[in-house]
Amino acid sequence: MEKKKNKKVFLKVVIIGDSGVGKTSLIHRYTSTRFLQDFKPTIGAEFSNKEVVINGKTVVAQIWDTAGQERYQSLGISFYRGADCCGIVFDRSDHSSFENLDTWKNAFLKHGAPKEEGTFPFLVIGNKSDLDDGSLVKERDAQQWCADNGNLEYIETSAKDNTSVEEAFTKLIEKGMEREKVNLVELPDRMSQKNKTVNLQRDVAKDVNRKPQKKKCC
Amino acid sequence: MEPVPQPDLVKNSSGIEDIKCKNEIIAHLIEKLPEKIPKKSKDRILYFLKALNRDTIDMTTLKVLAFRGIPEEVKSLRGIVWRLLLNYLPNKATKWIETINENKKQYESFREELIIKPQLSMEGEKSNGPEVTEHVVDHPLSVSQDSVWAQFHKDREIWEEIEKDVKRTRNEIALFVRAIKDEDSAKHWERLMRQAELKKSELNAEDKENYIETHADVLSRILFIHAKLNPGIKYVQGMNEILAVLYFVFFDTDDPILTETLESDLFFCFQSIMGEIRDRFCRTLDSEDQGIKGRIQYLADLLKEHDRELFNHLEYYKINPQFYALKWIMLLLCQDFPIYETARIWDTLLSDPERYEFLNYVCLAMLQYIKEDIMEGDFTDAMQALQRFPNDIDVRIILNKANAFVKEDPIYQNYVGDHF
Repeated sequence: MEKKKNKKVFLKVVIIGDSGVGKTSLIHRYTSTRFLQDFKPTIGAEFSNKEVVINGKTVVAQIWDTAGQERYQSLGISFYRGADCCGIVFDRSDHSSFENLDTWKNAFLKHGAPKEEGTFPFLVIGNKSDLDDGSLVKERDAQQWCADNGNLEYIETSAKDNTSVEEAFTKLIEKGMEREKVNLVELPDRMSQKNKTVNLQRDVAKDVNRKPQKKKCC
Repeated sequence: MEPVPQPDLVKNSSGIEDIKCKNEIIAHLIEKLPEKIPKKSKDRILYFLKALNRDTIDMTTLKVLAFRGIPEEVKSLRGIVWRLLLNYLPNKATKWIETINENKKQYESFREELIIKPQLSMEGEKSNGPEVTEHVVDHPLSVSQDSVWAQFHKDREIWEEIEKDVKRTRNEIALFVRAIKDEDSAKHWERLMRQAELKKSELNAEDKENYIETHADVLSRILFIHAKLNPGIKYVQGMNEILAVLYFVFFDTDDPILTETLESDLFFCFQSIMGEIRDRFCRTLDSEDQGIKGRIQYLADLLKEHDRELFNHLEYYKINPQFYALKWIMLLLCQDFPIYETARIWDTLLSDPERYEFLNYVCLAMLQYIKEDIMEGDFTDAMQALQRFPNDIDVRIILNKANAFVKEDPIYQNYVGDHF
């Protein structure tokens, strides 16, 4: 029997970084293609999703926008868990947000506790590139940091001008899918009527995408 | 039966005569009563005036009235009632003016003591630190010059953190961007726009020189002083939103005394609210009953008790109550509705005889309001519904639904009734 190729993959994308670097703006730009000058500070975390087709696969990206303020980090644990990839954002016009990349990466690894600590897919995003007055964090400095921290990939964006926003999220999702390949196994037809891809290392976020009815039929 | 006192202020159908007012603020309120008020509101306004204009205000009567909504037609009324509910104004009406003036003095001394240099972020640009003026050296908290500098840098971090959020606080109401001296707002609109857009430290020399003080500066100052006086929690994001609601309400006044003491009144009322909910902001208490996670768990337990079906559905999809209720419980719903509707919700929350117990029932009512959307879909649909509560709804619908949860409770017996 011919297998259906069109399966939906659910991916949990977590966006972290200092307060005011533009996390919410980037996500909003990506999911609704608009830019708003000022978002309220994010309290706790906010959820949005976008369905995209990448490399022929339909992916539902569940994007978690998290609070930038330190106070909320301890509450971030429940939001980080089960992430497939993580975007760390800094504001290129705010050097201290660049210096904090370290702290963010470590906090994520600690609280999100992904299994593959050394190879977990991060993407470093330097936002607000539109504010170029010569004093922005330099690309080579950012690249250097990424090289020193496990060869992470780096991308420069502007949520305001819509520069490379789509590209950044596509990269993130691709990285998440790479990781998924390792963890995903297809179950034989008789075990899963809908021929659904099932994650054997089931975690909270992805397991919950299965509807109750489907559970009964398995 | 109406659980409110019958008005005896009314001498004839057209209005009020021959009242001996207990203080200037009440006198002003009555003098400025609008001429045309819808009949329904008029009765309620008179109930409020009667409840206020007493030697000793009966707070239960006032709470019972305010729980169902404070009439919006009379400028200053809501602000005055909130000041009482927050125990800022004493229930002896003859003491109001004295209290307000004493607190203003107290606030001014906080300002003097705690703000090392008001324009620090502008001055800090030029040199590496503050120009150490005599005022700073004489500062009671500073032992040596080093400590002044260290303090200055720490303070600057707090200022910058606050500034970032104040710039994005309730911009839709175009209040905080305005000049304190309102005549400057129209005259210097372009400069005000630049001030709103840029950090203080990024302004050009001319704009720095001619800086116009705005309501955003007052907002920042109050948050800063609060942070300095509460080093355990300092400034936490969301406090800006809580203060903004108070600001919006207190600003709606034409009373000369209340206009004069706006900033200090705001500070102490903000302090009063924060005093009651500070545990929710305190990181070290996160996992305790009174901390934010404990409060959210309490709400989840109530949901389980009152709506098992919805509770089970959310459980099934592993939707942690933190995903939706964190903001609601922590910020008293101040981020989820337009500001005037938030103010209406707060009438009820602040008059709650078990403050802030009723907030939980408002949250339950909100959950039930969107129950269908949650039940129909999967994780994603439920999350969308939960995180984007319809904010164009008349909140009285929600408040009336919330009444249903407490109508059997003797504590709320006199309180529940249709919300206005």
